[in-house]
Amino acid sequence: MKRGYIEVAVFLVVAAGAFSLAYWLAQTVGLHPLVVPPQDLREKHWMVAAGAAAFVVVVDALVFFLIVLKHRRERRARESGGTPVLRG
Amino acid sequence: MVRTSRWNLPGVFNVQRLPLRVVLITALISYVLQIGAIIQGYPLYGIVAVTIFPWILVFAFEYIWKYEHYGFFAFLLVFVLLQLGHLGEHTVQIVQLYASGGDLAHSHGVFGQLDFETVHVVWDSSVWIGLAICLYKFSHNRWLYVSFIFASLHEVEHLYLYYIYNTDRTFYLMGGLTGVMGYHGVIGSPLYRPYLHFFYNFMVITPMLIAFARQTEHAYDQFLAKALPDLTEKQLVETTNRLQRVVAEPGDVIVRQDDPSDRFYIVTKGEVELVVSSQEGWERTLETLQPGRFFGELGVLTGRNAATARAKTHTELLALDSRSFTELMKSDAKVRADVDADMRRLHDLKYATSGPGPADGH
Repeated sequence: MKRGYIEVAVFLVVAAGAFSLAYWLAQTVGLHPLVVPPQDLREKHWMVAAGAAAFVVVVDALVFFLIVLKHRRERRARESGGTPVLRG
Repeated sequence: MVRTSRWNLPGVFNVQRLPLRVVLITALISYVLQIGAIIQGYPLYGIVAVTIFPWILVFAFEYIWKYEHYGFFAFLLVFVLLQLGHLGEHTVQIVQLYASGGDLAHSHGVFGQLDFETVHVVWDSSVWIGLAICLYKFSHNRWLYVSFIFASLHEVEHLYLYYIYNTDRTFYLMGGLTGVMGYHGVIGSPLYRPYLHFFYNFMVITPMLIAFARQTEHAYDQFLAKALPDLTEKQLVETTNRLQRVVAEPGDVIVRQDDPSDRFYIVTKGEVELVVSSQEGWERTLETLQPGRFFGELGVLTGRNAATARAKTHTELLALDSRSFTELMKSDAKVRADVDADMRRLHDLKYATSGPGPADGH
């Protein structure tokens, strides 16, 4: 349990550090040449972003569904006294 | 000549397949090529490429060996290394941006020639799919879920960018390359694209590294599990860390009958024949062991080898010292029963006939 908290703390510190560094570089160094897309064209393409997100969500859902099935198989094997599941 | 690896196997981080001299020679060649490339005035990507090149074969041999012994865990290991390299490329890019005052034209990382959308989408889709496979295989590892979620967000970004790049090049060049979450992107954030993607990669690799560290605690040698199927996972992991790799060529005697015995062996490659001989001079082959079978248990428990073990082909084995083997026997009745059964079988074979067999005696 204690180890789990340490891992979460490490992850949060690294995430905050990486974001802070990226933000600091964006504010101080910036980017050249910086070309900002026009608002109307940006709006034109939001459906593309939604489509990409939908595709990824569907694939992720399939992966999670397969994992649920796998866990169910493992649980049934355990309940029926089969060999324990090795996690390696 | 029978050779024992000097590496102890907690093994996944060690070079286990290749001898130390091969690693040292590779390092020397790599270093010489690097110096040569610098003297010849190669660009940065050329210097890095020739430095990496000699290591490719070493990694390939090691990977095959690790895959044979650790199964899918070897894939996770390589995957983590590749993703670390990818993060390295993004880190170099932001260092270049810092050094050049944000000049994007001079900040494309080490392999700048590959800095275009097709390469980005292929790489990041591979990471996303690779993580999905790892997640399925190691579905009890929670940190892989965190990594997979960030890889999915990153994938949305690259699918969008790839589509825009191929269907609306004008918009792409007018700033569309900023993507979904980049500065003034479809949703937008304060981060310009290179800084945003540096952050994305950090968010994928950090949980991946934690997941890998956790998974290392479940990694054990598959041949050990095959030879002693009743070991618990904890015993498998602990015992794997005590194994040593042994290599024998055809005709090499691995252990000799009646010699003092100090190790238990598992065959992982090739064939080993168990032979008994008498003072009268006849010799009889008891059986030929294939990968996954073991020998030496009787010798460890009685102090003397019951038979001679001889390599029939190029053979690789895993050896466990007698103390660790004895501890293992004491710790679990099921394991003891497995080994007892094999010992009884060997005993029966040995004393089934009192003389040479018709086919192989001489």
